[in-house]
Amino acid sequence: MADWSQLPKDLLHLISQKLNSQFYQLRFRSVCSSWRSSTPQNHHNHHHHLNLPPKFPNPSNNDSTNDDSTFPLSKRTLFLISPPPNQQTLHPWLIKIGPDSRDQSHLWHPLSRDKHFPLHFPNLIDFNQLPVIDLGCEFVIGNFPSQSSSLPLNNSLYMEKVVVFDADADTWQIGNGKAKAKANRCSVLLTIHISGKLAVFRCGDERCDERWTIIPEMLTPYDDVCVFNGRPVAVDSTGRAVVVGADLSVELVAEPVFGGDKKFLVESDGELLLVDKYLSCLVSCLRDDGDGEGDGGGVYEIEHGFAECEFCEIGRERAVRFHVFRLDQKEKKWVEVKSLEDRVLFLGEDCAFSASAFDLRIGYGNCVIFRDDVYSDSQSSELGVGVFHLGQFRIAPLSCFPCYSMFFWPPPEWVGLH
Amino acid sequence: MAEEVSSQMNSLSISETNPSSSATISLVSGDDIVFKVEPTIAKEMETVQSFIDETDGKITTIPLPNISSHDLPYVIEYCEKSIAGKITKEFEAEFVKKLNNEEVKELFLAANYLNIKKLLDFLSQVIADRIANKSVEYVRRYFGIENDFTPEEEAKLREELAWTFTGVDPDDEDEN
Repeated sequence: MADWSQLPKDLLHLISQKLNSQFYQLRFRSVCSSWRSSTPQNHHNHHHHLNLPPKFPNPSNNDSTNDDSTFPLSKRTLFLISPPPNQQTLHPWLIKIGPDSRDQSHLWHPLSRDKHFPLHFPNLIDFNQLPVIDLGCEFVIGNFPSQSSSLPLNNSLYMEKVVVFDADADTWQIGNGKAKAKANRCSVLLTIHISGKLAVFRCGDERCDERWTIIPEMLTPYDDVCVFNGRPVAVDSTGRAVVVGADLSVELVAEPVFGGDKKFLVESDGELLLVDKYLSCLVSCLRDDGDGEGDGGGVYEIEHGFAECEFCEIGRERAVRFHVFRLDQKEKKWVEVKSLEDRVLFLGEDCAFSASAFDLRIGYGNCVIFRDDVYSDSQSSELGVGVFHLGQFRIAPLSCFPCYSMFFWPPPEWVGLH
Repeated sequence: MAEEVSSQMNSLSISETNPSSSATISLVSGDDIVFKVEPTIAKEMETVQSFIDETDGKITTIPLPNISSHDLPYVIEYCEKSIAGKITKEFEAEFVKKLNNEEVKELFLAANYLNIKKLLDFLSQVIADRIANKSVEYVRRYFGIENDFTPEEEAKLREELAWTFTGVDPDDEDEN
């Protein structure tokens, strides 16, 4: 039998570079001393991305001359932490971990940019001992957690979701492990400008201009961005999707689908999905029909596009349903997906990700879990989260789906944070 | 009976890309089982091909002491698909389903020994997928590796892999 602790360096390297997360690579190095010495540590720690300046200007206010108008960039990772192998009946824990703007690690709500969970005493989660799935990461620009009293303005700046990737400066071929000259590497940030246009920031290579460049092309404002199969993809509010090239050209990936009100991109099981969210407005009508009882008024719900009555006051928007499409890369179109099978999609503020019902250890998938302020309770600090079940075509707050609500907060006891 | 054999031979040769090409190559597994393959298959295995080239094609029986007769058919199957240009996601998924952890590791070493780049690349992905989200202890068991770190090194590892939360800062408490 082969002694795998003595595996040649090139073979170890071949496997480790297939581990598509820095976290998995780090863990690979922790197996034994020979593996540790032959797989170099790429990054000084897994909390940060390399090659990136510590502070960025806001893309919608491109002024980097003044330190007050630049903001820290932080990377956070979404983990699904499974219970120890001998405790299979317990449920896993979904959590986002990353530094705050002062470089202190925090636990963040998986779907929120700003909401974090307090820990009142020092704690440690040892990832050596637990099976952990890396579900993805997100990047945020700004001072978080926001402290409304002491730091005004900072986070009220308009900031869309940001995606970051390392790429070859000329081709934007994203690292596939081939030993490319390091000098050619750059980091690229892609987001959506307040105008709805795409904005790109390149850094790390001397030819990079280290400023936000707005891509003028736009038919309708963009809704979402993501990195799929190593390429930066953006979708606009009609569902038209494009891939952004190194020369900042855009190339069509999928024709529009129209339909709903807000489009999200999410990768699931190797496929790119488009999630189309339909909103309706809660309307309060103040009209009085004259009988003095005021029963003509009330709260109504309308779908977008309804002609407003002059007495109506448009209130909060509420998600009413979702449609999901799969990218057909050859035909360049979105194909409607009737069932997600055992997949569960999560739509966060800065990151959309997916997991299988099997990994989540729940009986069924086929759901979209999303943030919705309508479900937030003004009495408690609970974040509003909703669940849409594709098969049942049912939408409800997270609390109506007990098997889903238990992955969030508080952490299960076996994590050892109690 | 003889007819049956020859018709089987015919159906076999149809699947080959070029049945009229030169003599078949015999690959001899570590446990002395002979596998006859078309020269095109041998071409996929760089180690075998360079052996043939070195002897100007005079030697067509190649011993492969490091590869068992259990693993060799998998390697040949993959090479056949590769030549036919039929390495699809579906094929790979089916191929992986058949393999247990031990076989994946053995085939990985076989692919390395035979220098079949595509197969090696594919199997390294399979291994990566199988260990990605597992604990370090699981990965050690998977590969039969002993933990040889000193307590000091172990402490350093823990630091690298763990998240330390310092708790709430006094400033944060002022928030409300």
